[in-house]
Amino acid sequence: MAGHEAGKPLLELRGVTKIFRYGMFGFRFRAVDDVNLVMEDRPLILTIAGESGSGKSTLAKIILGIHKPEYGQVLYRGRDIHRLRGRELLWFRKEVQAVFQDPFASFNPLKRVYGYLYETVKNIVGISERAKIDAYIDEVLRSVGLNLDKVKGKYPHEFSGGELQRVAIARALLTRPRLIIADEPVSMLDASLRVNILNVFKRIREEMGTSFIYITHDLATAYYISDLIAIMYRGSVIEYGPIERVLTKPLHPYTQTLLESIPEPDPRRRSEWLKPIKLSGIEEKEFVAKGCKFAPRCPYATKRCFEEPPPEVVVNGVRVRCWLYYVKGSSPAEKR
Amino acid sequence: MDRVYGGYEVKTYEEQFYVDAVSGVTLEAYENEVLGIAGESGCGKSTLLKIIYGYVKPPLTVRSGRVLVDTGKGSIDVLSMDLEERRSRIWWRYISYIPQNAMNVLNPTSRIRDHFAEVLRLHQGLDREEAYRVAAEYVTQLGLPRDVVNAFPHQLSGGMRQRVVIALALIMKPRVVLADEPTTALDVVVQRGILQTLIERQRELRNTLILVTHDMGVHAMLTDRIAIMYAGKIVEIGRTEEVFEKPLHPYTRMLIESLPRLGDKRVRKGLAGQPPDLRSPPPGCRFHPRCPYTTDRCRREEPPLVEVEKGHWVACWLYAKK
Repeated sequence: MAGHEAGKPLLELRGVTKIFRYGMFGFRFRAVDDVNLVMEDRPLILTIAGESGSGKSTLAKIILGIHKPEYGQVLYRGRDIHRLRGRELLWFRKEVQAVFQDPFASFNPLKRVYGYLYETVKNIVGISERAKIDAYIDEVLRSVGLNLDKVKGKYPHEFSGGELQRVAIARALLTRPRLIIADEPVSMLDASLRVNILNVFKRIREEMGTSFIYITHDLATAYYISDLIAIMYRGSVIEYGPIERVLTKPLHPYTQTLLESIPEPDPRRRSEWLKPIKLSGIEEKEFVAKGCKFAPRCPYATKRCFEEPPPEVVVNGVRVRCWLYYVKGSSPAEKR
Repeated sequence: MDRVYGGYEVKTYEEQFYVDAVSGVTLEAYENEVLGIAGESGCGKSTLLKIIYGYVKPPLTVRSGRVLVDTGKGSIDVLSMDLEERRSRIWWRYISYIPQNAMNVLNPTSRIRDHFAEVLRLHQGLDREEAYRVAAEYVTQLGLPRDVVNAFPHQLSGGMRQRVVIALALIMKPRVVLADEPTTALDVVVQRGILQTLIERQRELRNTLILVTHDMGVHAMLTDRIAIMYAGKIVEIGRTEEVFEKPLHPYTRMLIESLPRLGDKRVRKGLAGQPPDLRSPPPGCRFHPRCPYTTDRCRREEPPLVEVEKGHWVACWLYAKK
């Protein structure tokens, strides 16, 4: 694999906004709202975390080029991915691969999984000799803890969920991608098997220098494998920074609420967890709110929070979108 | 005291095989207690709950065993009644069941108040107007907005619908409440709120809540005792704190150790292999093909459930008395 160029980021999102129409009510809302992210070009695992409806999967699809944003740009190694054509597009498809939540939905049940691997190598990697293809497939399968003998001739239903997810990861690895986007790749698996897949990601990052964008709602697994985390709420990235800092000293009130609500496998945290909380029933309204979308639920909300969208403020290397951290005249709101 | 005691075998016909999903399970749940049933997908925990409720319809069958519920005037065997009898005499009043994806069980064409009215009419003989009034009062008592009763299900968020289903299940003050993954599809903040409602009601009614979930975090936050199921059998049962602090069964230990935790980046190991196919479970201990401590005996004989410390039971040859 080519060396990582210094300076130029691997991935840069500039003001990315995706607008969906809410069919029945006919109103438009921003599923992804002015997202700015920069990922350096070195082997990193970035988590995009959020609850259902936060826009994290939509953002993943934008980065993969499946959705086109209404505003903003996605730059992969300096190139706008939504303007790539022909050769350049093929190059992008090789460099950026995806792994999805349900491996059984990713493979045709009537087709042997080996066929997928074979075609990827032949058409995209460009090896044509059969024996060489098999040797290459075997090598890649071994990196995820499988081998060619265990896979050849089998249909998807002959694998367990964990094994098939490994095959899906191997398929993604065949093109030697520099970036893999994994959308909830372990949430369908049993808890005791999840960590096995996460360990595969960690090893690939170390051995092959592949970067990952890990999309999840599960902050504990995110903490386990990631370097960076972006927390999304109702379409906006409200906090972004090194994962140790964000998850141990959360700045945004939403990140704080989220962390307090996780039921951790530790009964000593029980009494704290059982302290009553306030819930909202009006979810659609939050999407179209004028100011901060978290304001109706925020314990620190002021009048300003309801009226103006909060600026992005940098605190100790963490970017947070919240009026609480805004000091007049200090680190300015960027790119707005 | 409520006692649920049963030995079950369940049968599923499909090309003439039998899935041994609940295999000789014996357990007791006490009054004023939250009993958790934990285990991974396909271990039989949901099937067990259905049997306790007596919701046994083909392909599910019970080969043997009893489920005894204390009604305050002696105990009755749920499984000895037919479905109609269960419906009129036992369900809602003594046992309530909150199914998986409960928020989708509401009838989309009737208002929330009519869901309540139907239950109240059937079990308390209230007329419509009176039932509406009782429902509105009851809903506000539970901390839900009053106009929820006038809404149609689709007008409410998933979390709110889930609370409505829970409210419905609890309205007759049942002695036993069975909840199957009550918050799995919900966000953690909403989940926390709903589980808090559930536990508050349990404390108020001092009844028995049997909570099935695969989420060990939820067990740690809510349950008094926890039973760990593996491949159709209970392999460990004890006080929740004890099971988390000192898990005895190798399966429980590996399950708890495999869970990533916030603030801890140490490398963890998941379990190797897969749970067995319950159409032909392995002989002896069902965990033996994946267990690092397997001996010949484990392959041949099934380990009995033994009490290692007071109230802490485990089915493993490592702990059986020599």
